[in-house]
Amino acid sequence: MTRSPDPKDLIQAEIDGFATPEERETLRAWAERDPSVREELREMRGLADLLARVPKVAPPQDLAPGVMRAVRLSKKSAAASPFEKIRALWPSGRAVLPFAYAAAAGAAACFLAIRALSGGAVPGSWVPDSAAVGTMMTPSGDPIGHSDLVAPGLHGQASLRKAGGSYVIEISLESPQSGEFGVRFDPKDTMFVGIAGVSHGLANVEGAEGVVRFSQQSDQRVNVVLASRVPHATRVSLELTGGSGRTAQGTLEIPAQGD
Amino acid sequence: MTNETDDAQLVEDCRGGDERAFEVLVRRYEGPVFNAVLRLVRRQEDARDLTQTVFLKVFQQLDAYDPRFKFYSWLYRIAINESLNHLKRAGRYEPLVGDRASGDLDPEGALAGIEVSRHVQEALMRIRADHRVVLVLRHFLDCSYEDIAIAVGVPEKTVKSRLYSARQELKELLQARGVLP
Repeated sequence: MTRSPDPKDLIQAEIDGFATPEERETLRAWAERDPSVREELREMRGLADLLARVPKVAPPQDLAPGVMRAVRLSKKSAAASPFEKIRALWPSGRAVLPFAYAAAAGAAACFLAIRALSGGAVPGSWVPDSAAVGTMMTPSGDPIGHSDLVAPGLHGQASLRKAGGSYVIEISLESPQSGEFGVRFDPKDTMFVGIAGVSHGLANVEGAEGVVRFSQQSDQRVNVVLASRVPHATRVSLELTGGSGRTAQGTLEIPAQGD
Repeated sequence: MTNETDDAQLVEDCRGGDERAFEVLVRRYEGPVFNAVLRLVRRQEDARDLTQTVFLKVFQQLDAYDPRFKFYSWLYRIAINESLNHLKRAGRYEPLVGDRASGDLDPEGALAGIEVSRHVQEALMRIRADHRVVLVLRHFLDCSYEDIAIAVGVPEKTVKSRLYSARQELKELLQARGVLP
């Protein structure tokens, strides 16, 4: 015994272009005698036509080169020294400030020097070798902290994630079009590792002890990489200033080691 | 030579250590994967990062790829899983900046590509994630029911019924916004 086809299946096959000539004929006859099938076919065609008009979005031009850099980095990472890993994070094609590069390398060098001088048993041994190694890729794992920076006409977001032994603060500006960010931390507790524009380059970056400032556009994301020097939890303050001079503030907590 | 056969050869070359073969695959599929992820997660920055992560995972897991299946079905499966995991992590819905109520629609402007895109994206973000996935695979990546079944990991029959429900859900949302009659 042959089961009669479901009009839903026929309508889908028709709008997806998979209907056989026989199915099309069955559907046509069905639609002629049943107004509800006719109406449903019309609506589904309308939806398919609408979806076909949604323009494709061109991927960012540096997407493929970025993937290939990440691939090469992943191949080399097992054998590379920490310094080499840091250098690989900031390839020549991406606009990154020399001070961030130097700071990252310096941080790693200082840590390794302290570790070497103390025979590897430094009080700060909660900072592993990988502490100074951030990542240009999305850090793995769930966010361990989030802060909304909100004031009238201002909205920024910051998420904290763990990346190896370091912590990445992913900062985005929702509105207005541009704003100034400041990231403050206690340099006794927290080590600045690096900063990078994920979507574009960076602008107006200033670094001083315990603070990093930079300009950000609303279509841009910036990653600030920090590492903890201490076993207890530490606090990072965030400040967003809009063109009107209004400011929004937030905080993130780098968790205690072992949390 | 079809892309499918060509993909299999490129994967073989990658496994043999040919990095350029992987770059060909990245160039070939960065557009479809980026667009699919963008439709699933909405934010361009997230789509970019996730697309990069997807290709890196593909590279790292090439040995796990079963050549009996189409390469792109496997690739899209990883892209879907990454996108859904991202949505779970984010755990919140973000309205589109500058979104307007349906009553404000300009009848002519509403038909322009950018407006269509905005309304469709807004509606997509409001439907169930598993419904969004099948719609994106069918309408934005032009996958067959069989491809979708492999990418999503459900029987073809389930794909059809899920696609039907997804279309109903999306259609009603777009009708409510005045985008569809």
